[in-house]
Amino acid sequence: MSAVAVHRKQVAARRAIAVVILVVLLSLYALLTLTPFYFLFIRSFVPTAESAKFHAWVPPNREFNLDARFGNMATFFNLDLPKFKKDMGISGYIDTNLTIRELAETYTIPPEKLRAYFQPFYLFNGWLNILRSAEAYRSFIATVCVTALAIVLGTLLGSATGLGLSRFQRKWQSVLYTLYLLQMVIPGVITMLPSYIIVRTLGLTNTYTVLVLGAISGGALSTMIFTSAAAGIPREMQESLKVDGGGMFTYYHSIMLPLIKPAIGAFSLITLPQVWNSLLGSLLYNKSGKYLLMAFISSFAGNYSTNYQAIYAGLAIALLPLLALYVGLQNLFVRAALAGAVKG
Amino acid sequence: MGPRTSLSLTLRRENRTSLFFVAPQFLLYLTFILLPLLVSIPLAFTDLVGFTSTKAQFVGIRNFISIFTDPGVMQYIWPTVLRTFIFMACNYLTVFIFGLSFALMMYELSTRVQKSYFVIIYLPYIISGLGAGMFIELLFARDTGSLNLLLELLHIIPQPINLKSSSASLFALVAFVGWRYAGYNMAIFLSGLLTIPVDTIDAAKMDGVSYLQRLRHIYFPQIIPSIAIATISCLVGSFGIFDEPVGFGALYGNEQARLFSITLYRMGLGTGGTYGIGMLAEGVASSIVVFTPLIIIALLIFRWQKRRQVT
Amino acid sequence: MRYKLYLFLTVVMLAGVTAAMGAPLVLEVRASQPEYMAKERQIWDVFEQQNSDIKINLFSINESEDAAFQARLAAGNPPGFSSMAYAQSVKQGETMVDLKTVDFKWWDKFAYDIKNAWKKRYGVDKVPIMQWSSGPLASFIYYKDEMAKAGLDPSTIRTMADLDAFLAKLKQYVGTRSDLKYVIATGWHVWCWPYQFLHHFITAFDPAAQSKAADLYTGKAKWTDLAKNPYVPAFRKLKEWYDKGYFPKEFWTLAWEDDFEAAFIGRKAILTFHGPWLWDKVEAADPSAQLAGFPLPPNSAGKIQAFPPDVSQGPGIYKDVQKNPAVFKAAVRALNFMFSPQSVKMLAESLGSVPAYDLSSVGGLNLRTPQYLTVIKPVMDGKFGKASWDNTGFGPDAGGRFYIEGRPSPAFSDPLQPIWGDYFSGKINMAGLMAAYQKMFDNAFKVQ
Repeated sequence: MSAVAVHRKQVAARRAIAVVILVVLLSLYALLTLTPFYFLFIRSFVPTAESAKFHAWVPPNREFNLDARFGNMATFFNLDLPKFKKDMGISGYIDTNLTIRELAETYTIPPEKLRAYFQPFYLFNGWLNILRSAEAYRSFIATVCVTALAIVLGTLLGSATGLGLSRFQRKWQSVLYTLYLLQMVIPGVITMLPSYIIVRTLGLTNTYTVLVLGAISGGALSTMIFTSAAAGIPREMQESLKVDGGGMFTYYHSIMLPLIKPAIGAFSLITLPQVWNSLLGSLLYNKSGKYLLMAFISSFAGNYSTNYQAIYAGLAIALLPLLALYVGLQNLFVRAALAGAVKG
Repeated sequence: MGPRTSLSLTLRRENRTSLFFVAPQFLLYLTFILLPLLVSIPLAFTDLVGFTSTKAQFVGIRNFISIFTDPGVMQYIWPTVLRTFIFMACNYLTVFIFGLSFALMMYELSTRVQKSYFVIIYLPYIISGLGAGMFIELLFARDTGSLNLLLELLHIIPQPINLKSSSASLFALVAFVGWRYAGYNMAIFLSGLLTIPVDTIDAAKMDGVSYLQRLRHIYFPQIIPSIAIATISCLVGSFGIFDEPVGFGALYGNEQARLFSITLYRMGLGTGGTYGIGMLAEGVASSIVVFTPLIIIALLIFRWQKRRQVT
Repeated sequence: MRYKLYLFLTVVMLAGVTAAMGAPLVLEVRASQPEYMAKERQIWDVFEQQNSDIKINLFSINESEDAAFQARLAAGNPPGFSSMAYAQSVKQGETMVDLKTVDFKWWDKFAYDIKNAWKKRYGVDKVPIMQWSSGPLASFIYYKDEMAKAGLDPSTIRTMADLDAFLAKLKQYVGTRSDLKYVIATGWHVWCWPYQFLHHFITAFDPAAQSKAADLYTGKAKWTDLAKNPYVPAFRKLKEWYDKGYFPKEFWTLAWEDDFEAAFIGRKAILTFHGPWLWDKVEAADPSAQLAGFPLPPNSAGKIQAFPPDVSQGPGIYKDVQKNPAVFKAAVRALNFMFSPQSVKMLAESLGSVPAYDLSSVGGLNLRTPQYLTVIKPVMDGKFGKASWDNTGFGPDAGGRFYIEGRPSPAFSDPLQPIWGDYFSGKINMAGLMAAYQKMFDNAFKVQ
């Protein structure tokens, strides 16, 4: 065998070893990254009373204790009291100090019926509360809509801004650009009250509109991504269009938008979790009937501050859709992520 | 009309059309972002105590002086500014440790393998800020944290890790933030690497250029824009990061996790709450003092990077 | 043909008008605590039955929503009625309606002088908060079955020396069990330790503790005068317990709910010291738990500190509600409902608070909550020896009118946490601790 061939084989072998090491390292890190998510899922089933012990898997269900006091159960498990009363055929005020056994006696309900009603709550109360809550579905759907709108409109407005800024005279460009960069440093608490008053003056309190508008107002990242994308398109494209009699608007929708797909991908990728996870807007401008998902989870978790099942089930619900999206649309996701955060 | 005049006419018309393109989003930006900020800046010249107080008196530049001379005010601000700079430096390191290393690693692997790892590494980024805090409790609460329990069970640690008290808490915060933004940073660097034409790499490999040499001469120049963007994000982001320090107990007495953003938040709250300091005006003044140089530096980096691109 | 259309339109219009007239007015009510939402909802359901023209929208605010809610209040959009409003300074009191000026039917039912209570603390003749409940009493709480396993019986504790001996034996027992970690589980809470718990402790060492504390908060005495300072013996005892390992290490860094309450619910400790909320939480999380409690030992005058009604926080109506007269009228009706004897009875029995209110007209009180049955009632019945409850107000309240809005108060505020931490970890001694307190006081109170 020639020396070159031997050398090539050595290089190939070294490369194979390097690849194996890389794969091992990455796999370890991947495992490390996935572990917290796994624990989140498991802990959403672990009752607080058992949380001081380590659980690698869902603990076994415990038999429901009929000597539990009704008021505490109602609070801890977030019972839908009117529904409970209807299901059990009770009307009027229930003395919350009664134990479940006493409840059965007072209202002549067979104890087994009550036991069967409460049994699933021991392990599943976190999930049950969310899956049975109309409020959860409403905020989920609202969040999906607001996020979708934010991405679509944010792209349109952002790319328009990018185009405009890239064509502006240098001094205007710098001024506007700097103004947009300011968004990075605004401390939230200080602008809370002025923002609220402005929104109230516009009559937009307690609407979904204000949440969408807030998400598409642009900012440092949107401006950076779209301005550099717009500037990256060769000037000749617009010149040629002008020759054919087209203006900036035709250029915008027929040439620019298709060409900056990578930038749109990058922008969507960053905006998606941002809007999906947004919290302050709902809390500040809206009442609980119009909370988005994260605000709903936070109020849900805050109300059950020591009920870990509720808190972690809520968090899992907020994460699962994004997780499903990213894993399911892997190809799209990777392409978008690598595409254009960095074009000069 | 000579050619020069028609050119300037075109330029002016283009400026006008650009205005139409820029206006819609700018109007929204003005209303929802700039206006509240502009309204808040004059607060630095008042004696406002909390963000819900509605009576304030004008006091001129007294706050700008007191944040440099009054120990009662300085004790809240400058230690946290210093800590934030330390955090920023360490965070900058993790940007390269997580971001660049992963990007380089992934660059060497085939696309199919790349994709799955990419998604997994990116996952922590989709946790919300609130979720990040909950994750920290989930894993490291002293008596109920899953990781603490597991490590104790395996006898790897004699006592549960108390993230909120040890002086290593700041570095744990850095590690957590690094983990959370690993995917984001990796994407920035990887996209820079992917702009290198494959032929250049192949040619270099054929010529027997070693990996380190490839790194220095081919990879590094191509990722300078990425480095610039990562630097700006790190610079400004470190002063805005909020949810992770809260998760580490910054609002419940963990002095080590108190970064500048936390200080601003506490100063903005009145003292009716449990962790407010009640110095809103001084808070606004100090944020002006601290953020202005940051913005200038960020702009300079950005300008330099753009100019470098053109050459 | 056309007249049919007109008829149809008229009918629709009439229906709309009647619907609008009959449509109930929506009154937003803030619940007192998120934990009590379900229980309070039931009670407001009774109100809705009795007042079909008002619909109650009950909501609660937890800590993560608090800042945003404060902004809403400051912008002038308060809820119609608040079961939890704050009037902890003269300025805060100005945002509330003076309930002496509304049409309120139940003044004579209160067991204390509510009309002057706020005035005594803050110097302004006003009733911003209508408080039916005594304050949240803090006491020791323990798992009955575990304590029995340890072979200890806290109901025999009569003096501080007894308590010390008991804790020493408990520590020994905890050492023998690998699943128990703490003798007294606790964490840090900015209000519970420096305000609620501490002021229960000082009475255990000195019958005149609260009045001495009042002197400190009205500037008549100095913290640094250690001999006259009623907090000194309490801090000394707490530090002694900390040094003996009864409290978790660095407990001032432990989160209240996530670390402390979860640990106690998870049975990492048999004993803790807490207010009424923990009982419900433990029982809800673990219905098989049998909880009992005991108070701090009585002082030389045979008194144990109770928590009198706190008129600085509780039910009230924000002034801005008056901008909408219909809502304001509904709020006043809600107020009268909430403070009617039937409601107070329902509230007391479901929330477990002892009312400072005369319930004889509705058959008296039937409290069956474990804190009442194992701590409050036994003391009244003489089961803890000659001890009886002391209902003097807490010392810091006397300084209410001198408090400068926005400054951190030594009564309760966040800067106390590192100060306590330094004291308990030994970085500063008693003199240093009291100097820090004096400094906070001088900065936050303007004594005339």
